[in-house]
Amino acid sequence: MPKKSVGAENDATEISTTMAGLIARLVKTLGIVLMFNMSISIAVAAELTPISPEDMQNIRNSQAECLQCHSEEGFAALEQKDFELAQLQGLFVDKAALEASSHGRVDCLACHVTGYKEYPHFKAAKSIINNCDECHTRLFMVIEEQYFESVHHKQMKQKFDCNTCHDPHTFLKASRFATVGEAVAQDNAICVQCHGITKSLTKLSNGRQKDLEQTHDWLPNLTSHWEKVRCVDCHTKTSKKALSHNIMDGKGAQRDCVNCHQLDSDLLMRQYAHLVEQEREKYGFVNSIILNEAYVIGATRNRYIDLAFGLISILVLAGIGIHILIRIVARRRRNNSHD
Amino acid sequence: MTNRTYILPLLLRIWHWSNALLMILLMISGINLHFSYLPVTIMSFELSIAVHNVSGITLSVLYILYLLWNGYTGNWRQYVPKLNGLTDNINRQNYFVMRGIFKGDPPPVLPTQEHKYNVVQQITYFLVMYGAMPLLIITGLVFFFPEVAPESLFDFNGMVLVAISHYVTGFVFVMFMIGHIYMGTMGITVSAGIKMMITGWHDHHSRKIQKND
Repeated sequence: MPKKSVGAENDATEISTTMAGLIARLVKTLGIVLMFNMSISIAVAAELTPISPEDMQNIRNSQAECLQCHSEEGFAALEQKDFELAQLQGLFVDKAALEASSHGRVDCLACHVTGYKEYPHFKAAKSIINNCDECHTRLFMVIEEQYFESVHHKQMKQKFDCNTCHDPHTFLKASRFATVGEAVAQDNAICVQCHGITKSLTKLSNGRQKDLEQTHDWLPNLTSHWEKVRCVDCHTKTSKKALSHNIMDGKGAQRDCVNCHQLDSDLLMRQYAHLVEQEREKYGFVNSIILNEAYVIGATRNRYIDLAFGLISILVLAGIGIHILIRIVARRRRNNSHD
Repeated sequence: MTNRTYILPLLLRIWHWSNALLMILLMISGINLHFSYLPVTIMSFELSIAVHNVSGITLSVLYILYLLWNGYTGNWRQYVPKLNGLTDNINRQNYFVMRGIFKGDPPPVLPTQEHKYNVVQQITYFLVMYGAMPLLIITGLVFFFPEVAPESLFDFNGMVLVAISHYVTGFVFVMFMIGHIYMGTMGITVSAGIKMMITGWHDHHSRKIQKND
């Protein structure tokens, strides 16, 4: 009996422990789901939800407060300067670029959370700036997976984080640019910051860094490609979620021209991905969203012209065929009549 | 009196056959580039680019030499039809193609050193060599220097209309080539025109053979 009761107690304890564990897991999962959804809403809300004029004003006021010291104009206007200009080098933000950027409608304190309200700032505050995944959670799951495949992670993971490429104070999402060309210019400028190596620098680095023009000399119309196509359009693997973070080196990059230069062009999955929903055949042109930006051989096609040329070719060849046939028949008849 | 006349000098024949070869290469590579994902391709996309570029530049150089030679020798006059009796001459030529050739009639105009071409040839060659060819070359060259194309034209990127003009003109040339080859079989005999393009001599004696056909 006692044994039994001990066993029963043990069972009860086990069940309650299991239950508690289950509830804890449930709460944790729920928490994660909630946080996940909240995180999505934080990142997306800034873009999709209209901000009331009052809230916008509050954000601008908060930004202005920071920019008093963290912008060249603000610093120059300060009456009492408690620090040297040199101390702020590298910590300046371009106001116009910030306001035009994807984070232009975000309060500085949304990322610079702890230790920034006080002045002078808490010394360790720099190391506790919010990570990008705090807001960009859903995207981050894909981006992180892609990034782990990238040459940047494989070769220099200690030196790489989001900010290495994406300056949060200036970066603008491709879909927010007026033209695809502008988005291409921004994205390629990021790569060129490190990879824009000239011949002389190649020599200085003992060939570790190659001259970009030299490594891309196989590409026809190099300038056109650099102006119209993002580096990552070739230097990433094609994936359904084209977030272009699985960056490959020259050996792993796309070299098959036909990937883009065809009717079902990869460009629509990549730099034009945000415009694909707008794709409507314009005056018979296939891939018409590219029309304003470039003529892409093989991808820019007009169904009507192709069809008309096909029909004309058939008619001309058929006409010649019939003419030949009549000539043969007429000649035989003439020969027979001579006989 | 000799039965054959020397009409086409060697230089002209070399130019003609070079043009023919280059245009065939341009046509094949051009089709490959435009319809880049055909199940059967004669050459790869990369090779097509190289072939199209090299052939295009060579054709352009040959065209410039042709213009200089034409100006120097006065050969350009061969392409200008006589306005006097123009309609009659065209009708005569058309009648031969649509009716006469079936009845075994000889071509209404035979080539001579002074007049190499009939009126339809004159008009076609004039339009092709002085209209379509410069357009084809200029639009083709713009592909090498896309920065010279206007930024935008009628709501499109400037290169779109340049490229379409190139495509349309290229197609005109393909059609011209097919028609030209076929018309080459409509001489005194089926092979007389092609033989003349190879040897430079036009055999007037063949008229008899044609009549006996």
